[in-house]
Amino acid sequence: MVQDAAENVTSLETEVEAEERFDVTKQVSYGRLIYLRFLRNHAAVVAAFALVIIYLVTLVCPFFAPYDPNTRFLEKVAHPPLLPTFIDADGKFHLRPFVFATVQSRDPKTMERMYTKDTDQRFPLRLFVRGDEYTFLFWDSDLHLFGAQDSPVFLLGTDTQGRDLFSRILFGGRISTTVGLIGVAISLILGIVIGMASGYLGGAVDAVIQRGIEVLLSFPSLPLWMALSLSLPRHWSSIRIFLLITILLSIVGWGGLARVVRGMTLAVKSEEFVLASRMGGGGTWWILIRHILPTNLSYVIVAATLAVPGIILGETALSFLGLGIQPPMISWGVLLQDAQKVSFLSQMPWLIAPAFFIMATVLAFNFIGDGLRDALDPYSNF
Amino acid sequence: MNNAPDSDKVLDIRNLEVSFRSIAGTTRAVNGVSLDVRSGEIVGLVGESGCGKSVTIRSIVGLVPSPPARFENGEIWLRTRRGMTETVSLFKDTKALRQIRGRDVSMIFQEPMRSVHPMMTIGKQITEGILEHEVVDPAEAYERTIEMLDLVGLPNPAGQMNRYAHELSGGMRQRALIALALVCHPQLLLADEPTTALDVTIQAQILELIRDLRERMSMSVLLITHNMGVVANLADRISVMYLGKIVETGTVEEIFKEPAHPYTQGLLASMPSLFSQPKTHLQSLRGVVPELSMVPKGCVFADRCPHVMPKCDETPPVVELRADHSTACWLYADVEEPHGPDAATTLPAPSDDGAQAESVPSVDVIQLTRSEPVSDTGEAPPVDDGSVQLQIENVALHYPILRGLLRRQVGTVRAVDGVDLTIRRGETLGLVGESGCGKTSVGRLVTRLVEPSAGRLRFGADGQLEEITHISQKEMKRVRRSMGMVFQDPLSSLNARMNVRNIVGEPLMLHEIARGKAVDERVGELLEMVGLRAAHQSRFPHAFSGGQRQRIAIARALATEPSFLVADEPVSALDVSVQAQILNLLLTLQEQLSLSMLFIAHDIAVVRHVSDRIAVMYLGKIVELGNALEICVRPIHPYTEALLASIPLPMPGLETVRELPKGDLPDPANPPTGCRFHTRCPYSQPICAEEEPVLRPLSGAADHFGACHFQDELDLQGVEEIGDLSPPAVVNAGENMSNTQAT
Amino acid sequence: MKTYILQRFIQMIIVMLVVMLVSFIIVELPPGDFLTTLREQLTEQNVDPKVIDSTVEMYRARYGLGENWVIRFGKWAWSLMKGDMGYSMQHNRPASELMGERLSLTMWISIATLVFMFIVAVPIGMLSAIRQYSAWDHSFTFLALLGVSVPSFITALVFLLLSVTLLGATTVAGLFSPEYVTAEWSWAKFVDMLKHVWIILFIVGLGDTAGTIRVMRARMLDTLGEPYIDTARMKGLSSAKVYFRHALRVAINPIISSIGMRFPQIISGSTIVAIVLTLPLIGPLLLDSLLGEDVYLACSILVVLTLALVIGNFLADLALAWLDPRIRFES
Repeated sequence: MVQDAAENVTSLETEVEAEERFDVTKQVSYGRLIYLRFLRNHAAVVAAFALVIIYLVTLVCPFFAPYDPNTRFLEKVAHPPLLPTFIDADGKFHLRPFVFATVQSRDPKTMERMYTKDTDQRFPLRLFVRGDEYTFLFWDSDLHLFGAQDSPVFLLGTDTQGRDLFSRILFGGRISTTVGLIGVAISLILGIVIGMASGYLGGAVDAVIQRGIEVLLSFPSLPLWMALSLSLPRHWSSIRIFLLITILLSIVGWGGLARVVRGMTLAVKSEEFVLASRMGGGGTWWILIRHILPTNLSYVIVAATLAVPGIILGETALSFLGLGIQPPMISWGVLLQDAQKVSFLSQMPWLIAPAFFIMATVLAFNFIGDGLRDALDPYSNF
Repeated sequence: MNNAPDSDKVLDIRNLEVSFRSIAGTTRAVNGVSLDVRSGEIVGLVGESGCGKSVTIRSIVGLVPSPPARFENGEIWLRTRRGMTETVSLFKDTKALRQIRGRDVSMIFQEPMRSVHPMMTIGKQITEGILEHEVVDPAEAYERTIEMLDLVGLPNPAGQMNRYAHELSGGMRQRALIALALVCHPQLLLADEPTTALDVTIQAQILELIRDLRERMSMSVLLITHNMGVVANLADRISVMYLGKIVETGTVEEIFKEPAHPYTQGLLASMPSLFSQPKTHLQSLRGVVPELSMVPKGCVFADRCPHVMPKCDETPPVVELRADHSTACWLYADVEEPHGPDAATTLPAPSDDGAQAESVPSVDVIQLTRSEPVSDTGEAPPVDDGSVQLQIENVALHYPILRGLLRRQVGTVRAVDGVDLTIRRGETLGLVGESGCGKTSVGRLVTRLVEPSAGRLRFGADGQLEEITHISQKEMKRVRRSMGMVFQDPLSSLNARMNVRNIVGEPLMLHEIARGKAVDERVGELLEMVGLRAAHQSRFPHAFSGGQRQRIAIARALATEPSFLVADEPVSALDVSVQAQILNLLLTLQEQLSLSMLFIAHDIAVVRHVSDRIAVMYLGKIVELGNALEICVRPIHPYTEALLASIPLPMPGLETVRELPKGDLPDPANPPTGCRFHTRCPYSQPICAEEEPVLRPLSGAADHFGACHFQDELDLQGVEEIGDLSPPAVVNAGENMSNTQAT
Repeated sequence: MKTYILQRFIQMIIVMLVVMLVSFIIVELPPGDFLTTLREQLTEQNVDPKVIDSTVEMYRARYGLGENWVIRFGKWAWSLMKGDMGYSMQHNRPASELMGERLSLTMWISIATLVFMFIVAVPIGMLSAIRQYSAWDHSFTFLALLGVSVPSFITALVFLLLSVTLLGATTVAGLFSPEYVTAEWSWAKFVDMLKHVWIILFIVGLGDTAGTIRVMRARMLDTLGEPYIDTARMKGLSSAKVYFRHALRVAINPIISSIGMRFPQIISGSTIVAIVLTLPLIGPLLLDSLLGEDVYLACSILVVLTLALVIGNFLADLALAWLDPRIRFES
């Protein structure tokens, strides 16, 4: 008998050795495998970098923005974008980019403002210039990433009140992108708790929750948000309004996530490894936390990534309609309000610029979500 | 067409090479395959999963998508109505290919459940094929379809015409698919594992049908399968394939009587048959089928071959052993060399080679050191001293069928309907039955992974029997410490997010047996016990093959040193050669650790091999219970006889006269009245439909139970009358058996 | 089949009731008393105090104001079912009068968008799957992702910008040419609308069309991998027959069942696009009522839109059951 066992083990030993010859990729964990697969998707990687930059810049926006969002340049109202160049009027190249000075005049017929370049006056751009003072995380400073001495720099022009649009977009982005993250975090918590309860407990609990989600999803989200925004007290401080709006957006958004989590929980619940864990002595909580949650988590992250755009767009749309974030607080939606008026848009087409920031952010989230989903696909080969 | 083969051949594949391109690189799935099928012949192509069988057969009709496939080399000649046609050159000409498909050559697939279009009636799907190829009016096509459905044995063929896939069972779908394939009378039928997804009794019916239709429609068949038994009584000739190469070709008699290639020998030896000595180690091929990208140079089988020699680094030549028997192996390259032909007739058995075992002295059999006081099972050999491990009485599991908005109960699925079983200490009880019979539910009931609807469960951890039917989950956790369970699917039974240390160590942590470093040590011990390395505990499940994963699952099941193990179909998802390794491991461990075991499987040959006693289950009821060998030799229930008759045995020329059970398994939600088997039983009498027989001892044999009204009168056939045929492979390990045999 | 329809129907009624309840709660949420606000507003409009008293009294009675919320809900729901959409304080007119044509136009535009989405997305998605990894597939996969990422109000803004800067338009392109805006419905007005409507369908439907392309492509790829497609190919059928007769009818099912999900999004989209482009749809009215705190009007709009959706979903379920025997026979 012992000999039999020994023989048995012997043949195994060789098997193991044979395997080891070619298992370079086999030592890695599941997470790392997904990471490696994700790296192969170039679009998603680029999007991930872009998103990191967007969040970084909007988070530390007082530093990256050349001006305070409320600084008004009364001489430069409705100024078109003025991009820095390297070549001056004589065709001479300068290593340091610069902007020309502009002079305001009025169209004699329509009385519209016009700005003409004064190519004699150059204002070179400088890094780390002193400007408007700000407070960032209890830290007072007046340092800005770039600017020009003696002349303002309007990368994306100014609005009807002479405020620098680029600075306002960065400050507005802080609100818009944060709404996305906080909103999804709230949706996620609701979705995971309710979805797991629904899937794991089953029965009547499941039926009630599922019907509830069905009702929730059968509302058209935007009109529902609009109607809910009625309940926001107008006199509240803007930060409370902001928080309420975020909660409001996520209340409508958790249903989809809860469904994803429920589906996964149901699938995992019948997996044999859950039964095996019960055999090993695992109770309900142990199984939920050690097995079902980690197994769901990757799919939930994908769903959450793809849910962020919805919430960002919800905020933007509501604010755009004047039902969300209220001035003086700024969000991308608030900034786009001006672009809604045809008369403004025809004279100041650059007012639409926030739209491209919205699109870039949403696109980045979608690309990353897609990349993650492909990386998680168990059938994709590696 | 000067190249064309002689007209006797229906199919002639010459040196086919197909490779696949992916990011990982190019792999050659089919590497120089030559194969022919003659008129009226059934040829079997046998091999384990991943060896290129499917790609070969699909290449014949251009069903391999290209890209990613590339046809590097070779020709495929097919006899069509327009003469011999080379099909590889047609792959770009879809129109010519379409004219061949369905008319000259047809194909049936592995998964009948998914191969019928879900949203089209059966009739429409079949007539569509006729109308595609022939100029007939729809009414005639309709008539011909009904005839064809009749021919393949579907009851009420006209009625089937308007039914949809979901209304048919798996066996009926495969019949419909055969009708669909043959309705235009092709000369060649390609069958890609046509019975793998079906139950054994249904499998036997379908194989019988293919044999019958070959005669009636005078066609040829190329059938691929992983199961040597399937082709033994069906094929005329067999080709054995391994890693993209044909390693041996011959008539069915030659292959089974005198297998030449070590791979063929290994495949035959690793199958538990109804004649092998129970509880002995099966001779298994070592290792697993490597991935295609890792194919060894030279002979592809070299790294698993017991006769490997230096010369195997070069590609072996194809040697003609006889007129109709050839193999690609260096053993036969030089016929003068003495060891060649000898090896062909006597099976190599590595266990005879004691030196080999000793040559690896570092590997010891790890004896389990029990941390608890040694139980009586550990001390005394498990003789029949009346101590019982598990006893279940009249246990039932009923699921309500809920319908409608208010979830009203409209019926009950009686998955398990009153089962009594007793497992003695150290004994293995085998539980066998077809899908849906409730055997898996019994396994989960005894461990209370599902709660019984009725009945009583008693379990003796290490002493007196204790009632566990209604004890709390907390109490149950303590009881489960003495229970282990191995599941069917090695893929889903291990959590892919956890490494092996946490998987195997989970019960240790939960029961607070070990903590921190101690877990690592204990897991290391357990892994070595099941034949893996302690160092593997940092790896994740995806780094292991199916067989290795099953070893990990066994290590986990044994982590808390249980005295009782439930093995739920532990080998059915594995390749034949790996299946033998796992069975051997279970037998070894059972003996070392004096485990009692409930072994659940659908294959009565596997169950017979590992069990002391066998319980046969049909639709939630035990229909026969008794000594393992006794049941197989002298069954007393017609269902047991049917199961035995349906097992495809790797023995050509074995014409069974026994009648196969009729029809399909009934719906468990609506089982037949009286004896549940009477709808399929060849011996059915009026009383069978009225009165339900109880499980009672056979007169004159107190330990053999049956649930048939006529068990004392019927003279049923087991496997005894062919028992004198020498089994193809029995490893002599006689001292191993029988002292654990109970009763 | 009949039980299935009945089941879905009962389910629909339940959802409708819950929708009304939720909407009612939303109406009750905002601070302030409706009757006080109404009285103030009417006073501001210099209405005769007697008329004010009687109007206020009428509303107190009709909506059971001042009683407990169950009765209030019951009365409100009952009058809603009778077709009484409530009263707009801002416009001093019954809500149903205000909604009238706007509502039906919204529905028609939404349905047309849905049809537009189907006609464009299904063939593109299908072809992308059939020619997987081709240039066609790559470009539409990218465009679809882009389309999914652009919200309809931004598309509308960009359209506005383009028409302002490139075409020099001074007014917004509406549903009709200026001469038809106030005209009675006629054949000519209808034809005029057709000329304008396609661009609106494009703007409203872009996101959902892109989403549907992605779903269609994925489903088609899944379906083409199914064994019954091999069965169909083995019959000798042409590729076109395999794709259209066998694959499409299975792959399109999820698209049909996703109508329930798409339709709310299209309504959301058309609401905001109508506001941006000042179209005579329900959206601007909703915004108006919200900004004017015209509670009952806003709520009625929400309820009516949602109920239309619920009915739409019910119809989609029926279509699916008619198409798919597996659902049809699941009694």
